[in-house]
Order: sequence, then structure tokens, then C-alpha cells
Amino acid sequence: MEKIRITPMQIFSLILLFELGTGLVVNLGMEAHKDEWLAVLLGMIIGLLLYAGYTMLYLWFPDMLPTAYYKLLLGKYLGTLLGIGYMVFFMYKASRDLMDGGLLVIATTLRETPVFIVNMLMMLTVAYTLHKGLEVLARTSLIFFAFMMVVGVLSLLLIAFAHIVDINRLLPVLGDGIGPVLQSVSRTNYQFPFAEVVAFTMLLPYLNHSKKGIKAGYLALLFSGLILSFGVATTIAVLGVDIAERSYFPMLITVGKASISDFIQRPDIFIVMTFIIGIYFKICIYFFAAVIGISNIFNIPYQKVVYPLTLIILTLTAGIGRSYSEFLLKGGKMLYLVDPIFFIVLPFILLIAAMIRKLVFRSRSGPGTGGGFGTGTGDGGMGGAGTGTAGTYTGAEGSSGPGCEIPGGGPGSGGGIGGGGS
Amino acid sequence: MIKRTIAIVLAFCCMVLMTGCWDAIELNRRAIVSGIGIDQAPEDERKLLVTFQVIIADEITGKTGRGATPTSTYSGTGYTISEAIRNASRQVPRLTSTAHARFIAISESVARKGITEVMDFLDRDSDIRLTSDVVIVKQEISAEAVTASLTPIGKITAYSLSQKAEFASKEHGENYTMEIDDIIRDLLTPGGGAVINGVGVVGDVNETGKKSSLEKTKSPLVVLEDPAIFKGDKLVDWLAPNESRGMVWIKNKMKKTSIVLEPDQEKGDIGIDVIRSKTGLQAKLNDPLHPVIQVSVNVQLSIREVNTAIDLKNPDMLHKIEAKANEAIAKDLRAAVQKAQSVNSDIFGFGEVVQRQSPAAWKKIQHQWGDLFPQLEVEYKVNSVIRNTQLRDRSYKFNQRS
Repeated sequence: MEKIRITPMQIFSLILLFELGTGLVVNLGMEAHKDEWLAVLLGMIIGLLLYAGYTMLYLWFPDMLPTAYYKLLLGKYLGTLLGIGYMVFFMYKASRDLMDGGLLVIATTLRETPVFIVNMLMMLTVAYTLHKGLEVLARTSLIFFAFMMVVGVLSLLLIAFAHIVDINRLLPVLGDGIGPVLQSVSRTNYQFPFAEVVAFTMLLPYLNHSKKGIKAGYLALLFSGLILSFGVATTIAVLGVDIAERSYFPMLITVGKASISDFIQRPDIFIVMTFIIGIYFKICIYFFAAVIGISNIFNIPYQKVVYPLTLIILTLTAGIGRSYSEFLLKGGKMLYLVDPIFFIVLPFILLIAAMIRKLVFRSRSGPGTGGGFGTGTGDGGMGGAGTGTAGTYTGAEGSSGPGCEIPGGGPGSGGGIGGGGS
Repeated sequence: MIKRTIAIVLAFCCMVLMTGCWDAIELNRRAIVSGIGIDQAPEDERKLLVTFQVIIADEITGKTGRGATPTSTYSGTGYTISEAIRNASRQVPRLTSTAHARFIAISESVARKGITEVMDFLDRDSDIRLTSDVVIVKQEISAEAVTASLTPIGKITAYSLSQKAEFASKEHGENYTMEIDDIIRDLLTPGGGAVINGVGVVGDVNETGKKSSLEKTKSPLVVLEDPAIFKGDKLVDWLAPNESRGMVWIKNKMKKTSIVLEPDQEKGDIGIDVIRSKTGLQAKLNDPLHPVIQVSVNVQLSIREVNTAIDLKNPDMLHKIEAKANEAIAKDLRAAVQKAQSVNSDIFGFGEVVQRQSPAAWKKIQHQWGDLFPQLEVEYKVNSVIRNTQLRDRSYKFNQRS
């Protein structure tokens, strides 16, 4: 692991930029129509719960990358497979966000430019930043966080003073009952963008103060949820639910509406700017997660992985959809068919595995005594795993019930944390 | 050394990419469109004739001008607006850039057939802003003539027309600025339709596009007129002045307007300004199948002219005038509602008021709204307060009489 440390403030701004990056500008699905802002709030609450789960795993293995503790919890082969699965997922997500950014840029400003060129410029920047390391990204995020806040407040003032907000357009609240809201939350709102914070599991081990860092994460999620919800409400109150629903980038149009006499016009370019910044951080974080994970799994130096993966992500975007509609449709399908596996199901299984592991270690009275476990929960026959001495471990694949012996457990600390992974 | 050479070569390769935007077209290769006029093409009923008012930058800056008109028009025909734009490019030596278009003039004949097709383009296009004003050009003149007209104040007609709309709505109270998204929302009101400002010409239409028309102090002008009322996306009628004032009032867009009253006991008029106004809409759902809409207007007035000998120092007299003002305002409101009911177009969104208040009740009546609306009972509650009488209380006539 690199000797890099990120501060709570940096993780706060990283998470906030990550959450707001795409969420604020793209259409969030609007399945709850006028009550979308409520759905976003509910989604945030679920997102906070998921984050609590992710951090629980982190606190049990504070110095290990997730790819390392996957192996620890699920065994060598299954753990590696899961690690690779997550890395592919992160890369897919990075390429989707890249495409989102590219499409906004060509839809609004660079109409004649091929989207691949726009994506390439973005990806080169991302690769360069990551080549320099996570610390650089974290410090950059502070600057852009300040910038985003200034732009956000300015746009808000513009909208407020342009007399374009009509609260009536948000009424009636829950006109069709709570049903559509819950459906919307269950399909999209908790995942996008809140559950996406799963990418940060790869970053959390770099925190210098784990407790404070986690708290900063909660705050960032809460804050971003409130901003997003407020943003959606503003969009609907300005444009009306119909126009907001039909727009690919509703926030862009909302801010574009805010012109104050002939003096301030077309402030929407600010939104394009913030969007590009947000997208940049989102790609960076997904990409960093993928890079660090792959370098960890295959034991390749981090900087050697960056550029090949850049190429992979770039080419992924080419095959992701021929039109924006197709791209969104695929994304929407992924969002409720595939994504929940990575957001909820797998972390949940890991959590259970970790709990069982903890129980087993606690019940063990001292060194030398065997302890073992298997998951009796029927989650695809997840095998138990245990630590051996410093850094090595014996994994048990698809173990047949309890009782897999662990030879001479090392100084397994009370919390059941084994030695460093790599 | 080899590494270094490769690095330098790569850096030079990157320079090719960094030369700037792929599709940058500098201002000197763009024709900035300031206004768009949409007519029916003379040769084919289904075709549109789209006219662009293009700014001639040389004439605006003055130094390099040839003394020609500051704007010029180009037009093209097509079944869709985008086709017409492509066709017009045969006439324009530059790229037509619609990002700065400030008004869209639609001719009455197109509006009578339906504006959906036109509005979709305006809504979708990523260049045209939603803040552009939309106007309907009266039958006797064409949108082309309005687009081609010149203006004495300001150089660009499109901008001056959009400013006319802005100031007329601030000062006169029979219009309010109607932008693209306002109209799309109106079109989507259940059982409703759009209301769009009208535009006419005072003076000789054929003269408006000539530079010589500006050499007189009384040149022919493009003027804002009372709005047209739509049923769905089709123009059905024009509003009369009092109807449009009532409409603006009910839509809570009233900023300022003037009311003329005649007190009971004395001869002569009183001119009153509305200085602030707020309208609230409520639905009474005692009988859910027959909702009653309550329009309540709160106005602040200021007395501007008194041509009678009444005693304005006396609050009772002010109350009497307030009561008269209430009546006058209610009359406008009633006229507007009657007009809307007569063409069965819920331009005020009364249906949405019911929906806001009780989504359940709305679900029941939503399908019969077309039948309910023309017979809808509407109550008017006007409450006005005279805040001031400018710098004098009584008129000098008051002392003259005694």
C-alpha cells in the first residue's frame, strides 16, 4: 500500500464532489414525478445505511484494502473473483460517467466534436492525476469543492432573483400517494448516486483518522443528499415537472432560465463547468478504486496499471451505447438488475462473513486452539477463511460446514483482524 | 536520449489536439440571429416559411458601417423549422447561429392550425434558449414583416420587441412576458391552452422595413397587442383589453396597471394606479363533482389623477373609492373567465388548482373537466387598499368649489 494519507476534510470534499458530480446535472429518472425530491431524500437515508455497512467492514479491517479482505473472508479464489468483479464494475461505472460527461459536452457546447475525442481529453487528465497519486486528487478536490460551492450559491441566488420559481409546480405533494415515491426509491434513487459511495471502500484505508473520516463521510452524504433534493425541487419549481422529466440535463436548463434583465445571461455555462469538474472526480474515484484494486489483486505496481486501464475505459465507452437513449436505457437496466448485487448483496454477504469470523475469533480461547466456521446461511456456499501467521492464510473454499481447522492462529487481535493482506 | 526524443515527439503530437475547440466558429463566420418569424409558406399549406432577423455587426458598431440597416432578414421554407433553416443557408454567407434569438414571432394562420410542431423545435433545440419571447402576429400582417421591421429606439428590432413585452407587462398590465417554457407548460394544462402575446403594426406595414421610415419622428411601429387565447395548441380568439387584464390578474402576473373610476356623487374621473397585486386561487370542494373556484385578489392602489372635487382627506371617501375599484377589478376578472369558458379553454389552470387541493377529487372529475369547465362557478374576492394619493390629498377643484 502506498504511504498516502487523506484527511477527513479531503474525504468530505471527495465524497461530496463524487455524489454531486453527475447527480446534480443529469436526470435522476424522475419516476416519482413531482415528488422526486422526496424520493431523493429517502434514497439518501438508505444510502446512509449502506454507507454504515461499508464502514463497518472497513473498521474491522482498517488497514486492508477491500480486495485483501475479500480474500480473507471468502477464501483465495472466491475472494479474488469477487475483487475482480468489483474492479470490472468500477471500471464500467467509470466509463459510464465518462460517457455521461462526453455526451453533455457535445450536446451543449462542442456539437461537431466526436465524443471519443472529448472522452479522450477527459481520460488523459484523469490518468495524469492518478499517475501522480491519490493525495494529489484529494488535495485538488478541496480547491474544486470551494469552487463548486461558490458556483452553487451564485446559481441559487440567480434563480432566486430571477423570479422564475413557482412553488405551486411542486404541489400537490404525494398527489398519487406514497407508492410511486417508494417505487422510485427502490429502483433508482438509493443507488444513484448514494450507494455508489461503495467505491470509497477502496479509499477508506488511506484515511489518517478513521473515526473522523467516517464521520466526514456521513456528513458528506447527508449534505449531498440535501443539495440534490433541493436541486431537484428547484428544477421542478422552475421548469414544471413535464419539462424537467423530458430533459436530459434539467439543471442546465433551469439555470439557463435564470437571466436577470439583459445583464446576466446564459449562466448555464457554469453548470457545464461544475458538471465537468464533478464528472472528473467521479471518474477519478472509480478509476482509482479499480486501479488500486487491480494492482492489489495481481500484485502489479500501481503506476503500471494506470495507463492500460485508461485505454480499457476509453474503449468501453465506445461500446456502451450508440445513442444517448440507448446509453440511458442500458444504464437504467444495469441500475436495478446488476448494480444492487454490488451495492447491497455482496457487501451484505461480506458483512455476515465478517461477523461470523469475528464470533469465531472471540470464542477462541487462545493461540493454538483451532477455530473455524462456514457460512450456514446458504449464500452460495461461501467458505470460511481464517488467518494464519503474518500475511499468509489458508482459505477454505466452499467449505462443508463448520469445523475447518486453522492451524496455529497468529496473534489474532481481539477484533478478529488478521495480518496485512499484501 | 531516445526517451527524450520520444517525449518531445509525443508532446508535439499533443499540440495538434490542443489547438482549440474542434468546432469553434469565430464570430466573423457566424450570422447572429436575433429574431425568428414563422409564417405559412405561400406555395404549400403544410410548409413553413421561416424568417431570420440577422444582426449586421458592422452596422451596429458604426465605424465600419456602410450606412445600411442594422439588421437584415433571410428566409427559407420547409416542412419543419430545421429544414427551413437548412434551406435558408443558401442565402446566408455564414453559419446561422440561433443562440441569441430573443423573440419568436408566429403568424396567426400558423397558430390557428396548431403550434405543437413549432414549439417542439423551440423546446428541443440546444441553441435557442427557453427565455426567448414568443408572440403571435395578427392576421393582416405577416411574421416576416415583423421580423423585417426596423425600430427607432435601439438598433435591433427583436431586442426592442422583447423589451416592449417586458415593459408593457411591468407597466400596462395587459400582457406578461411569455417565454417558451411558459407556453409549453400552458399547453400541458389539462383542458387548457396557451395564452400568447399578440403583435401588430401601427402605421403602414410596408414601410416598417425601410430605413426611410426611421427618418420621421412618427415612424410605423411594431407594437405589442392583447394576447391570443388558445384551445390546446390552436389559436381560437383574441382577448379584449379588459379580458386580458383580468387574465393577467388571475394568473398572478399583475404588476402595475391603471384603473379609471367615476365617483358616485361627483362628475369627473379618478385615475388610480395599481402598484402591487397578489392573486390567490382556491378551490371549494363541498361538492367534489362541482368545484367552485375562488379568485382572491389583493391590490394596493395609488391615486394618480383626481378630476373631481372629492375630499380625499377623508378615509371614508377612500373606502368608497376602494369599493368601486374592487368592483371594477372583479368585472375584469369576470370578463376574462367568461371568455375562457366561452372557448372552453382552462387557461388559468383551475383544474390544477383542484388537483393541488385535492388530488382525489381531481381524479374523479379529470375526465369530465372539458364539460365542467364552461359551467364552472367562480367567486371573486377583491380586496384593495389605497396606499397613497401621491403628493396632494384633495384636488385644487375642491377649494375652487367652496
